Amino acid sequence: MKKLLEGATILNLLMLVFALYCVILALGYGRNSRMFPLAIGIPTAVLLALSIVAVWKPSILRGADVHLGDSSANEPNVDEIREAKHAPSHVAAMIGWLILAAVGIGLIGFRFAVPLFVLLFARFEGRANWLSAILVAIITWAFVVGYFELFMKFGMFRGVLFGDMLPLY
Amino acid sequence: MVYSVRIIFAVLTGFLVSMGVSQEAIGQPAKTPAVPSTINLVIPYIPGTGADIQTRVVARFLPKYLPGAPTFVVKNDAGAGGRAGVQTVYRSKPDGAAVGGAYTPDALANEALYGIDGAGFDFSKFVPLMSTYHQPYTVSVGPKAPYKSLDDMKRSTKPVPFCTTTGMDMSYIVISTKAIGIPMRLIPGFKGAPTAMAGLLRGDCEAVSLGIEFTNRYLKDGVRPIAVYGVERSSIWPHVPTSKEQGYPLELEISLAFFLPPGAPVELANVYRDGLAKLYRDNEFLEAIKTAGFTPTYADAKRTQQIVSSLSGLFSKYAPDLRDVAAKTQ
Amino acid sequence: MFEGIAPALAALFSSQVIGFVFLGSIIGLVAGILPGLGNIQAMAVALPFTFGMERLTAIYFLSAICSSATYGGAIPAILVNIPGTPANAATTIEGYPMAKRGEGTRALSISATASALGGLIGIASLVVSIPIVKPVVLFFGPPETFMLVLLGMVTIAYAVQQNMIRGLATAGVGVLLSLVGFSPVTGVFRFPLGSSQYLWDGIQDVAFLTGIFGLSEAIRSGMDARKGVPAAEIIHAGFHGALQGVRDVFHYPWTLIRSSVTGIIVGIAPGVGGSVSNVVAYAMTAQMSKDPMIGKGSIEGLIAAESSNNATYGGDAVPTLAFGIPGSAAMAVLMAGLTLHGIPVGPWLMREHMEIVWVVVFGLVAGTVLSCVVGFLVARWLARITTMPMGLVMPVIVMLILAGSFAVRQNYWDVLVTIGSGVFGFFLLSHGYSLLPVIIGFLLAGAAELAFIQALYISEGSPLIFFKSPVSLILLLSSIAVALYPVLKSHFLEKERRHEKAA
Repeated sequence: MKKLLEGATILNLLMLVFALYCVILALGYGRNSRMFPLAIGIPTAVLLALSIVAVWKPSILRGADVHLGDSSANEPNVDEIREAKHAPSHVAAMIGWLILAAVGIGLIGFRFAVPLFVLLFARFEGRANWLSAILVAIITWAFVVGYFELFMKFGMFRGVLFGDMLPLY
Repeated sequence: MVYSVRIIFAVLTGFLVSMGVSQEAIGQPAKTPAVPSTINLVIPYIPGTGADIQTRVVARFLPKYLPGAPTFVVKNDAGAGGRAGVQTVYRSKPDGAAVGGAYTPDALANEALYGIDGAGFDFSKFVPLMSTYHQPYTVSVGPKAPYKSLDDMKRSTKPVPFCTTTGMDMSYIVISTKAIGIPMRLIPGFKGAPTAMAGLLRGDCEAVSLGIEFTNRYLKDGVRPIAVYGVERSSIWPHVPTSKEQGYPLELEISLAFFLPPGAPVELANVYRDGLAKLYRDNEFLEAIKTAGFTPTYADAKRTQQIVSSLSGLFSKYAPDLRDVAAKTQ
Repeated sequence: MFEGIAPALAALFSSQVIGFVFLGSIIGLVAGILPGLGNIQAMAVALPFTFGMERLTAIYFLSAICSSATYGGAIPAILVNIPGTPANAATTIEGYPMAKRGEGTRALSISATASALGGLIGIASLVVSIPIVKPVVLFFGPPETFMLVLLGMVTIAYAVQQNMIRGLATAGVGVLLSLVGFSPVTGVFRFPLGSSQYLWDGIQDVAFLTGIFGLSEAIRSGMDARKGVPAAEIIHAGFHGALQGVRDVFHYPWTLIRSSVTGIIVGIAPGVGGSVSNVVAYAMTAQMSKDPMIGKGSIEGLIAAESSNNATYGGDAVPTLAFGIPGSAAMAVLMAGLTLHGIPVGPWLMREHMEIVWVVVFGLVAGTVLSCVVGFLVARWLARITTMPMGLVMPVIVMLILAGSFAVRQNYWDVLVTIGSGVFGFFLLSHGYSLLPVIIGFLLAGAAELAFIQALYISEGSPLIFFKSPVSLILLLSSIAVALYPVLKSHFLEKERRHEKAA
């Protein structure tokens, strides 16, 4: 059970669910529309299932290892893997910040979400002092408004609270 | 003294009232509605297409003919097979800040294929301003194709393959071949008319159906026109018979329409209509459109509405055939 | 063919044109630096300004913007691991590790030199192919295009990094993600994921790529900020470092040429652009190289990535100038500029306006070279970004990524796609997966399916169409050879190792 809850397994499981979603829907499409999705989706689902089974039987994956001599592309990057062991709480915090950014942009638009996000992240996550955080927030806000809105004339999203509508999903 | 003040007051009041009455009597509104300082010209096509180029030229020259000389920003909202941009305008507030531009048959083809709910708009509810670029559609064949007339194509023992893009090109092929009785099969998926032309010249298919000005450029490469879908011969191709002359009275044309969202007040629409009418008499603007390779025709709001109604009827009539072909390509 | 060179060059050496070419290069460079934006948006904004210009000046201006953005995109790719344009995705893999160990100046200089030389090779190939360009374009019908894209897809075999099952599985996921949306051939809205409108056009590639590359790294950097990981110290600084970068490129001439040729070939196939050549050329180099630093900041890998994406312009311009078929979205906007100035683009262009063709060629060259020279000169100052605390840099990067992603279509849901793909990319990297198979699958699948099904429509269902033309057959055999190479080599090397052990 513990192995099933490991990050890699959950990732493979989610990808498998997506692949199966595509395969099942494709079965209901016309011939030309389902050809490619089935040709790719079925083998992909099988390979993902094998990756999940390999959690209990690692020998399955070992047979498919590819070694190309000295090329270090084939050596696991030990430094990267060491770094990759992040605490789950840290990961959750970072994802939380991104969700906050998305919600902020949706509610109050880029004009207010940009400086607010930069300020709060720099101060509370990045542990910068207030002055640096405020300065960087103002510079970022000025750039986003100046370049995107004024120069390029993109209508940056103003937020649901300020009258902009979310597009149709 | 009081009596004389009353008389002066009465005369002044009467004068002011009569000014107001006389303004209304000669049909002039007492006040011209204001247009926003920034106006989005939303088109459902990517940058570089014919509609995009013409719209950018309009955006450049139109401000001087509108009160306050507003800034126009062209927005390419090209998603959902050409529906996204039209939907954006349909959902916009009718305050003049959003003006839509679209090829009329494109928008109506989407409505016919997906229904009003599926398309996300009812084109008949838009407030038309004017339309331009009225071009008849044509049918042309490749250098090695054996056909010389519509009847030749009709008599073909096997389905004639047509290279096609999506939207109005495909719809017009389905409508015309159904109306004439030409056995047809589609080679869909070509991204843009130039790619379809390359397919024709390469031999991927035997025929294409595209606008006359665009097709005309490829005659030197071996493309052969068979017919123009109109009632009168075009000055561009005086030697090419019309479909009517060949016994098939079909009128299929492309036109680029500009419109306001549903519910836009008449007074506001008239400001845009007047401005656009003056624009299409501006020699500098007309020269710029011609330099870009397009013919700047002009149809006012009333004529545009007639075109839309007529095309809408045509697409409604052939909607089952369009859906049938769409289902078969799946 | 050579008629038209003289008036094109005469126009180039006027002070007004030189000024606009320089301005265009700077505009393109800046647009490329900002994630999500690029030459398409910069050219679209610049178009109205060209109305009052003399025709040749306008074309030089737009061409310079067109080609200068790709090097601009390399700058954030190297310094903060965020590709400025989709064509710089693979640049992050080698460029950013170099910057992290303090060699940012050197990496920027390598990138500038490789970009300039790759661009020149690409344009030179365009010039050489002018006499045969129309037959070349007409040669690439749907069967040939499918085989070419297939060749690109089998480079996934080079990108799997250690385990074929995991690599191919993630490549398959990338392919399935690209099939979401309206099929341009069949008109069916596939795998809607609950959407009725937004996903009609599929998952937007800029939102996906900046998310999976840029935001995933931003998440990792954010955690470094939390841990207080110090910023990089700069080594190989100053002009010396920049010059070293130039010298580095000349140590790998075959990598430069091979990657440039890859870019050119990819560019010729319409609908397959710089983002594809970047990853495909890099993936091939990564597996063939003996450099132990591949994946950890390899000079050779960086050269492969940056030379190929600039060489692509030469390939993109082939169908554009020969037939009016835009080789990329940027070429479509360039065509719009030409049309606005009274030069409709099509097969007649080379017949009747050869001087315009030369203006475009020289404009693309000038844009590439000038942006790279400017980049080379400012590399030592730009590299200082890597010394700034990540806690301050990371939120700025996140907001610029999200703003750039939104700006492409002005659609809020693109922001969510960017975040979603960033989280997905982060988890892939954390669990030892490479991003390249997903990216290659995502970028190439759409073009492969379209060409495949169109070919079957043409042949009325007969698969023999894929074996009829010599071009198609050569590409198929090349795909088989490329696909089998890593497997066979691995097998023989393993055999050798066992033999040595036994001995």
